[in-house]
Amino acid sequence: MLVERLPAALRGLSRACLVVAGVAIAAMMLHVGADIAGKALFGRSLGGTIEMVSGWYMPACVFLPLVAVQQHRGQLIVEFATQTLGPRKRALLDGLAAALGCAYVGAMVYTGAHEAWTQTAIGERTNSSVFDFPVWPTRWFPVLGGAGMAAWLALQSLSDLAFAVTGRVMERPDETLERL
Amino acid sequence: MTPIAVGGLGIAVLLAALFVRVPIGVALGVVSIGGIWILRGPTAAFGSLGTLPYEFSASWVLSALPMFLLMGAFAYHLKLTDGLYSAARVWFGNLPGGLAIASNFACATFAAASGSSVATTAAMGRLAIPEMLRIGYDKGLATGVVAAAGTLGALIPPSVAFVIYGWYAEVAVDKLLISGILPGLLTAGVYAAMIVIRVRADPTLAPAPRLQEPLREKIRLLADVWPLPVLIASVVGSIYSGAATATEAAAVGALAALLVGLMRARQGVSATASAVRAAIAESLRTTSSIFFIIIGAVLFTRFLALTGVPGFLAATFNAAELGPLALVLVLVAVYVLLGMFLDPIGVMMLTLPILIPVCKQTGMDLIWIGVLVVKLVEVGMLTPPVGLHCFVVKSIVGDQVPLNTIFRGVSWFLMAEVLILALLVAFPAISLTLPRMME
Repeated sequence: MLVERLPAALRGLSRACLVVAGVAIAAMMLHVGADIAGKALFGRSLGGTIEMVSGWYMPACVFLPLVAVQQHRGQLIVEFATQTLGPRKRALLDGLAAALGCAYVGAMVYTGAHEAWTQTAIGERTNSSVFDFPVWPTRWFPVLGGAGMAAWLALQSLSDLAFAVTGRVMERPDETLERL
Repeated sequence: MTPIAVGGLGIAVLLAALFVRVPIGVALGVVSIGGIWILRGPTAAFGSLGTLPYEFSASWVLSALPMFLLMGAFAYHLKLTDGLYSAARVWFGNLPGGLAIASNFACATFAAASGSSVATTAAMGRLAIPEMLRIGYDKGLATGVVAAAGTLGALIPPSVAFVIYGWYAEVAVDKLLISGILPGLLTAGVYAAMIVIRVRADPTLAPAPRLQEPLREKIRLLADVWPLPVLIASVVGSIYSGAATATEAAAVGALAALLVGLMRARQGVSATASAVRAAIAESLRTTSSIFFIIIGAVLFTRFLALTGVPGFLAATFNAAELGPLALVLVLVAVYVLLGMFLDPIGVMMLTLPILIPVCKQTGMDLIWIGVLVVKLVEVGMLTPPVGLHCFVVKSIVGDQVPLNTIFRGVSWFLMAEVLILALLVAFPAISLTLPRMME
């Protein structure tokens, strides 16, 4: 069953995305550090730092970890008004909120994929005339991260709504992943 | 329905969605897309969604945010912050309420390194509160000081809140970061003075611990934590001197924290590698969740701009001829109210789309407003019923201290905050002197 296999696949996606984003954040730190050291010691910049940071590192750091954020339900919510509700009522609200989130992120993925396809077709490159390199592949980062996030939201919505309706504690998808 | 009515309805729906557990980023985004659809149709609504998230995230200025988060995560996971409380304890411990004052300054330093007020409260609370309770400190004072001093992290650079505000308000982030130094030190000073005055008036609040560490031991403990203040000072110094932009200083700070942490690592290679991986993963998850909210806020700004609500509010203020002071008082009231229920990033992202246009139209200094905004959102971390820092402290002390005792202890620091806010409002120079000197 897809619903049974999906969490394991998503966990792998989450880990892979975090690894790529981890490489990007480390590279950003080293690249900017080397650029400053070059300016301070040799009076010369590495060049292309701003373009690499904005065109490659930042999209990776921002969008790829979205899968891991949603895997652990890491989005900020306001809990104050619903603290006194019972677990089933809270699960109902969480399930509906996750369904809404899935629709929103799904729309972001759909429109983002359209934009990514357009930029891929024209081979989007940096705006700089001095440091000219392709950036179109990073247009797919929001699509990839968003798709993983939407899939988690769908699974979490199903799990929460099932608990709200039946009262039986199902294996929550995120907890299933924690065990695997 | 007029555009302004659609804007008002959008704000009402947004607040209702937040109170039924819809994540802040989702609520902002869904309301914005719905509103733009009503005003301009589906093409405009989905057009924004397809291009905007990528285009604003691909930002050189905003790269300071993950870099500051990474610096803090390295400092914490590689244990650069470990000796802070011990050092502060031996140097301040013999003052009236000395351990509380030590906690206050240790929190200020830790917060400056980590950039996270919640992490500061959690880490320092575990070290300081048990000792204060053991030697008989008043439970409210022991817990209140840790909860309150954790908020210093948002003002003292490096501060994630200032990076977000500066990017949003189109104010130079380096000047904003520097503008928080004096208000942060003022807050730490007023907190310490309040503790001394209270303990002098009622010595039973804080029995003297009789610390008699020799000077050599005091210096050894200080030497153990020297990299942290040096790291913070070098980041702040490079921004202030103009040697580096805030973004560059953030990257160098992260790199320096990593190198110093690796050089001083007392654990094995495997444990150190795990700590580095944990720091990177933590900073990435925090970066991504903050940006998800900011994406929603950017969409919300676009929606509100179409409705004309910010212009309407600015015109209303101008027509009422209330003046800047009245606007600031309204700002304080709104932020204190929202801060009771929402977290700082959420409050900022909900309010800045309305606040910034109003402040621009009324000619207010956006650096000064930034300091007030960051100060107020952090005060919200202390106010009931949500007061996140109080709940963090409660999770540390368990059944030893009831929640209402923690809120009672924090109430003294909230009274101090009234004085601090009054000073910041009455004397904008406290916030503006250092950034103006950079010019």
